[in-house]
Amino acid sequence: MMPFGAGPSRPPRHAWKRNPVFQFLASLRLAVILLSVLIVVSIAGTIFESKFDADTARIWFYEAPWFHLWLLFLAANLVCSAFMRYPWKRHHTGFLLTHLGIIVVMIGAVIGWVWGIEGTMTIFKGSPPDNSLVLQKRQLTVRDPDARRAVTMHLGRGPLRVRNGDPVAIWNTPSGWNIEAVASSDRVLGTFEPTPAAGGKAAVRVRLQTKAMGQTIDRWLLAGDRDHARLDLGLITVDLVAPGANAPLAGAPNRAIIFAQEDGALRAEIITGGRRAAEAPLAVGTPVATGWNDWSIEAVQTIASAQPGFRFEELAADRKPSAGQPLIEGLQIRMTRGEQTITQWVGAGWRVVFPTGAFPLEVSYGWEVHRLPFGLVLKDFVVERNEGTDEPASFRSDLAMVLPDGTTAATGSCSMNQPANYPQAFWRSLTGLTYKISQASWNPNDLSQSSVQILRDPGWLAKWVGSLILCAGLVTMFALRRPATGSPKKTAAAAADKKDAVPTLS
Amino acid sequence: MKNTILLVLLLLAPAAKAEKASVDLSPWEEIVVQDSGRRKPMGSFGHEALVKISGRDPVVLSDDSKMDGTEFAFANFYATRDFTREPVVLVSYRPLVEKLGLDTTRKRFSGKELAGAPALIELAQEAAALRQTGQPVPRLNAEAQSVISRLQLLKGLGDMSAFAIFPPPPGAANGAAWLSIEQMPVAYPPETAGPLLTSLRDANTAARKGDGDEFAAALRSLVDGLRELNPAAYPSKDITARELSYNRTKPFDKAMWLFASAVALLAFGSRHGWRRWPQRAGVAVTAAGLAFMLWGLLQRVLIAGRAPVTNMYESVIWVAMGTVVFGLIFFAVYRHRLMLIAALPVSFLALLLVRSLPVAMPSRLDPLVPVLRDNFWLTVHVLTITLSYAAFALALGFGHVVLWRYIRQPATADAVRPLHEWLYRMMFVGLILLAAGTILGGVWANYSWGRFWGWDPKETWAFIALLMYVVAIHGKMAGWWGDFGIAVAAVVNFAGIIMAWYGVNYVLGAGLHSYGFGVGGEGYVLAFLAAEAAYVGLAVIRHRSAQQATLTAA
Repeated sequence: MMPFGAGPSRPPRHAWKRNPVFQFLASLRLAVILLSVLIVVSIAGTIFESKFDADTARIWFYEAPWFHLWLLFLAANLVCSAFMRYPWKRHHTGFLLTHLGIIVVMIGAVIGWVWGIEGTMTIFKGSPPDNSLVLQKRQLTVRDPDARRAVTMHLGRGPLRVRNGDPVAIWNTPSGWNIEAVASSDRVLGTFEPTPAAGGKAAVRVRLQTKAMGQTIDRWLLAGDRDHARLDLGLITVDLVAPGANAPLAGAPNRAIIFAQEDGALRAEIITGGRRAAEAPLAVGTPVATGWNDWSIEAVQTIASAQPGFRFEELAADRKPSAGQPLIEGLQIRMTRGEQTITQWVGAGWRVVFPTGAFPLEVSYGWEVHRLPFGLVLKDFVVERNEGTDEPASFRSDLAMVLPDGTTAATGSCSMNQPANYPQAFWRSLTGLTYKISQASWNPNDLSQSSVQILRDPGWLAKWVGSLILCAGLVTMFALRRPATGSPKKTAAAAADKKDAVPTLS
Repeated sequence: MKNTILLVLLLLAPAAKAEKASVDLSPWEEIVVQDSGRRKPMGSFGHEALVKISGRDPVVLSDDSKMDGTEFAFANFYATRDFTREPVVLVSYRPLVEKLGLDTTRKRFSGKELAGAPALIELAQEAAALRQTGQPVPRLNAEAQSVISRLQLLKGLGDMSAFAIFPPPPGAANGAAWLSIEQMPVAYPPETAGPLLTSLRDANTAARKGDGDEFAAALRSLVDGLRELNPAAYPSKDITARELSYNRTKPFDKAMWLFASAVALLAFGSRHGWRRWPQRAGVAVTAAGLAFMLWGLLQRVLIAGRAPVTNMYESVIWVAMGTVVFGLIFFAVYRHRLMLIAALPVSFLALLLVRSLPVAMPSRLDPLVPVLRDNFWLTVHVLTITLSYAAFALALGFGHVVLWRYIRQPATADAVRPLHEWLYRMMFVGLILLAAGTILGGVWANYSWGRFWGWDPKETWAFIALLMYVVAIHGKMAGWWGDFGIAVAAVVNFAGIIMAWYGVNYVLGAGLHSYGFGVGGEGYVLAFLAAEAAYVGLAVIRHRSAQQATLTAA
């Protein structure tokens, strides 16, 4: 009872059909085996994803080379089985359309895989146009400023893993440094520590201390930094303000505002219970009493011009991070030259400067960045809430697409389920030859930022056209189905006429 | 000052009368409450709150009396009982009961009993900390968190803060929070607030006297007064009445029992003789059950203003309805009552399942998460996918019928051609819908998540289920198995559908479809799978031995 003729069992009329390789590729049994393995592998993939994470499942299964090879094998099987039935008859229509549809979808997937671009971008209200799209591909770059050279390792989706303590060689620099990755970890903790750099802002290491409660807080502040210009303890805030800038208006009732001066000196304004209490110079290494119980404030160290930076270390497996300290993945990098050895952790998403001499080597570990031909500006971000609650009902990002010469080429909004396109022509959204900007995520604590996902998928046309062909094929197969023994309706009715020859429950 | 006195009067009124209200509470059900992002009548609020706290409605109290959701809300509002001493808080996860050192023979405990178990708060705090850092939360901790949220709701009911029955004054922002009885006197002047509080007090007095007319009159004037506060924000009487009539009708329960009766009638039925009458009656009863389901789903669409398949409860009901619809279509085409005898029990079991699992599959009409809102493709995608589940569910039921033949008459079962042809067609309908639905899901994902296909577990399992049926069909064409194999596949492959539908959300708990996640029901699903395995195993043994016999005879 085959829906499309006897197929393989008929003696082949064409010579090429007798080729054993072709016959093997066209066989139904191969199809069943290919599909069964695909089922088992996909099940394993979902279990892996549940036990580990989506990236692990992708690396080992869905995006592994052997998996792609398997799909290619399946595609060959689809094509060969279609040609096996050549010359095609009317009752082959459904079968052929279905197989053609799958092939077209697969072609679309390959086009998207090779020529498509997919990444995310977090944009901030009031920031200049941003065109750096972060891709889901990791890379490790080492820069040697002296030799004016850099090497980049493209790592694909997964992090670089150092297994069994075998170091991974990265680069022998022209200046004679041998660079290796000696350890990898998912439990890397970054402590904010600005590094001196020309053209930066003032940085101060502040120490707050209370002897009565036996508490000491020691932290770096960087003026003008989005996350690190303020030390916030809830009831106490300390702000660092760059020369000429204004202090933030709001703060805790007890607050200290440190004003960095042009000459590098510091001046502190103390506010107690919301009222201005004192103003005095803050000398490095000299604690100043604040008047809030026995709290004292001290500038431990200053940098006149600094850039944001982190000192990374691995957190031991038995220790828990304190609240608000995210653990990230990272690599421990070792640089050796003769007797000299420098070993440091590098957290994913950051650049770390290694003190190798007058022109220090830099290692950055993170994600590949694709430069879009236009910059994105977040004009507004709107969150609607469910009535009477804080739960979001919808998000919307109002965007402007800005060209390199500064002109605004287009504006648009993207919200959940309603992406924005650039360029905006209708045929472009049909073919996927556009940048589709979707609302991806948001930060409940900061409504002046928004994360969008950007996709350019030239395979989109093939994907949806192939899908349509596939569905049309299935429906045709169902409609043209010829059961082996006459019309089921007639048979059934005939059977039923013989006093329930198709008995129900016996 | 006057308000404060009224408030005190109101709160002191109960005099700890531990009996049920002796008046008809239907006027009380019409008061509108804002809760969980929606305005709903008190009848729904009480039911949802009671189900959330105790996992059932009605609940059994310490004096063995039963109390339903409406009474529960009333008794909390007017403090006619001390609910901190009533064993109403569900702790369904047994290891948690053990961990807290409570009586393991019970599932419900009082607030006082749980307050004596400090481990509960610790476990919940650990869960919150883990969630914040994005780490997986162990079941024990997650359950502790649910218990804490039940206690919080019970406390909110006890101190009346959960009863947001006063709309904000006109001019408040769209979607502003409604006010509880404590907040209301701040927003409204005494001359506005006073009469409302008086009505509330009068209703209480009338209820305690057992004077139903006075009770109804007091609450009617209250609801009128509440509506006058902010007529634009207060839902119209029609909307409230619609939801209350939906609540009272319980259309899906009715459909369930109608389907059960229809099966009994059809089992007696036939195309010929006097037995056509039970058959006709069976079809009519099936149609009546279907009408209840359609009405119920329509009411849910009208109340919530969205497609009826946005959580597990609704999708199970939609599939139960789809199974009967497909059964009726096949019945109309092939004129055989086996179609309905296969469809109705599946539908009955599905409806029984959601009825038995009010916590794992809540019937609440909560607002949608942002990603599920306003999308044509989403609606089409979900409805198509779930219709494919329905077609496969019909094939599952029919697979049982076919396998039954192999169990009873293994020697001749292969010869019954139409049965196998019908089963094949049912599976094919499912295949078309599942393929189309999965692709539509890709189209939607392309809009919402920015990609067509991303090997998300839900996508992958839809793909796996699809392939399982494709393999069944191709294997038969390759000659690896025959009609019997298709019948086995109709039953076995439904496990793939269960995994794609329930397993991804409740067992794996991974991926982007997280808005559908939940816990509970594993016992039922495992029992179902075990029973299916036993049934298929039996059929295989019978089929094998019959084949052996034929070979020996030859």
